Amino acid sequence: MYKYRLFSSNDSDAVRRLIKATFPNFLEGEYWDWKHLHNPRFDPSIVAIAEENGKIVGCSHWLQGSFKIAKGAAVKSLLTCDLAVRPGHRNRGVARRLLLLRRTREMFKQRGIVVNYDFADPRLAKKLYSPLLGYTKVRLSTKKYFKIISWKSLINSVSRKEFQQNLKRKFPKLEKLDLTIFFKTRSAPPLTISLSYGTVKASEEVCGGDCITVEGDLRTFLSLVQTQNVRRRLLVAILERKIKIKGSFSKLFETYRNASLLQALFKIIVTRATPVGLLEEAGQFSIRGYEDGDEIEIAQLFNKAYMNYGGFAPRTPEYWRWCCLERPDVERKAVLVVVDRHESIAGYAVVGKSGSIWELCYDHEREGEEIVSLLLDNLVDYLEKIGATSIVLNAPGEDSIVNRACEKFGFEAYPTPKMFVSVLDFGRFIPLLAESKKGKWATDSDETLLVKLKNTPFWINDTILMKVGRNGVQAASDSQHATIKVETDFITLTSLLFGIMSPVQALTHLKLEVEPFWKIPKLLSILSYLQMEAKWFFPLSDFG
Amino acid sequence: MENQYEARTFIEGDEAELVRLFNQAHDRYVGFVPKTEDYWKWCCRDRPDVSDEGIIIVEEKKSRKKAGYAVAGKSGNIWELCVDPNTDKWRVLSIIFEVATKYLEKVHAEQMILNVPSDDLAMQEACERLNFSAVTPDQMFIGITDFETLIEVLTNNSKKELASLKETITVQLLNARPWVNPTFSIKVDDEIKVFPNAMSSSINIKVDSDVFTRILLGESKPTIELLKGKLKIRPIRKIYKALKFLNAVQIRDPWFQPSSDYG
Repeated sequence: MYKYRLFSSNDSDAVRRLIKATFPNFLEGEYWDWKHLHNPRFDPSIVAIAEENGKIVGCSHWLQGSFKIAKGAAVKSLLTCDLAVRPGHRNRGVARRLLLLRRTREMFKQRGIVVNYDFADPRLAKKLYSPLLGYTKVRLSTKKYFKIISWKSLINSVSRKEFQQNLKRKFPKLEKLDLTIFFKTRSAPPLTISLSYGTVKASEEVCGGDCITVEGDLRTFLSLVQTQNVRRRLLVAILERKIKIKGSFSKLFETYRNASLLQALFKIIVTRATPVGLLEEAGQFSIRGYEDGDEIEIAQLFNKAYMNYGGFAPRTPEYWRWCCLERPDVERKAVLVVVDRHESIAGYAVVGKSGSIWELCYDHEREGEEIVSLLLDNLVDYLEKIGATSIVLNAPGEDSIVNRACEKFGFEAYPTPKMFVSVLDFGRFIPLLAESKKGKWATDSDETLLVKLKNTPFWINDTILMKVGRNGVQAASDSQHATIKVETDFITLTSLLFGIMSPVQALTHLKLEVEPFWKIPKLLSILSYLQMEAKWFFPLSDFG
Repeated sequence: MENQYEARTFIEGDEAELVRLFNQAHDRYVGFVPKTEDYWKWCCRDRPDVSDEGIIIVEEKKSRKKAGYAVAGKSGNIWELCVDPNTDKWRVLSIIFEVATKYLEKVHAEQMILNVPSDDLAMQEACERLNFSAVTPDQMFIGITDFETLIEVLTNNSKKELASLKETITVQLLNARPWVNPTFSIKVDDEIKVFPNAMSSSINIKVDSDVFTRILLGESKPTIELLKGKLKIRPIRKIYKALKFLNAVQIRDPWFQPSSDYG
């Protein structure tokens, strides 16, 4: 059980540690002291703390100040900042409770607060701040610029013994290689990396001798780091003129042959630039294999991604483990997981040795194209490596992102197997349908509907009696009071409910007999309301 | 041409002039904390990665008038960059960047990051010429906790536009958060007054709280919200006047955030 309370001076050390652990690249301990503890505007009564068994697991800060809202006019404001929750306690509503603590009309009035603002991660804002607090993103007239002024830390790390040993372990060919690569990176000083028979040296000198010159920007370098098929991506980048590579033919050939080594060098360059979060928009995702515990987030992501579809088994972590992870042709390394910088899962794919992509799913609120491309790129690479002869994937027809990506990767569309569904108990099925559409139908009168079914299998009840009206659909008991009597056959009613046939079509094809006839418009309205609107989709994992 | 500017580092007593320069240079923007000497001292000078040597001031040689300044942190962040609009911006910026780069190299910073107003073409040109790359800036999210006071402030700025309105408008916010007053009235006459309750009014506006926030912050147009059915105005014959009011109170100034504000 979590306990929520306000900050007290004894909490300083624990909060400082929490902030330092949560924002290692940005807020170090001394920043917390400066920003809050030693800030003349610091007010402990607006800092919220969450604790479990006496241990601080979360905190949220407010800084009070003024805010220029119009020309010549400022109002009192609160800046929400430094919201931190320990990793093991996330997704449990702690942040939500911290943000709401002390958020009352009286508190704002007392302090004269007019606006509350935040510089938030857009994804967190979309998920948490906007729905919970009513925050609106403002279109800033702000441009952010950066440049690298020195490669010193890169040069230092390259010169370290451990680095050289690691690189040699990963690329045994390094012992026989003599290659110098000169990186002309936009917004950065020149960088020359020499690979000479097992030794690696880096310097900021311009290479004047026989070397390969690689010219491009960090964003392109990053895309080369993220791919599994670096040769193909490199060629595409060259053709798209995003990167230029110059040098003698033999050196170029040698570089191409050792493309994965070049990729490792790009990685060194890019990771040097990314800790300050400069390339967020280009490289926010990375891919890794499945790790124990991922199934909770994966099941949530699946259900969220397909919540508007019908026709599949909703995922629980246990069901997902059985139908994906424990599938005989699935290796753990073939469950690919795309995560963002906060290790939050943004997409995943489950690939079988048979070539079947049992599941491929991405967060529809994120950069789908990047996530899906990353997954396809890596899973194609995996299947190539294990010698699979074909790749099969089920994707929703309306999902333009997956469809486009499949086309890009050379997939062909072919007819999917058909699914046949039947209803066993209309009496329970129809109220469930109505429940899922609650609020979408407005009526001012109640009707009692008596449906007589023809050609029903013997296990199906051929009479349905229900009350439809302002309170949705409920079973009725007295057929004497039926206000609408309908006669139809089993297949027609099933087709109507599953959205395969429209009510008007059923009527014009004389598949519906309605009594009294002036209630026809009302019946059509009821049937339209009950019809399933959701598109049907079934991932391969459901029937494999 | 002889250089009329020269750079020096911060000395005690400079802050008043720097604050004046900041507020002057950002006069046309909204969305930041207006600088006072105390606030500037905390958010720039007292910042853990800033030393007086990192506060670079460019002055006119003859008059000693401050033409611009930058607050460079050892982390490579330029927390504030400000140039007097009435000077040779390119020249002043070149000097600032040259000195800042030398300083950052000296303190072993490896990158330089700065925020620039996107409509300040001179600053952008300087950044491009000096081989900077543009990246996505941090995003700002705002929630309104007191609509009455905000409207009072905003109407004060649009008194002229509203002078002929002479109406009492009641706004009813739908889906308002519990900390927000959902109903208030605005009496627009020779003086504009906002009341925290419903009054007998000539115009009634019903609108979703988040939509109203977007309208006030200038992120959505009242006419568009009306057409979308998210803004309801009664009586219908007063739609024009209600829209006139909403357009007048909208924030239309550009939003700019100096890095120093978000620490």
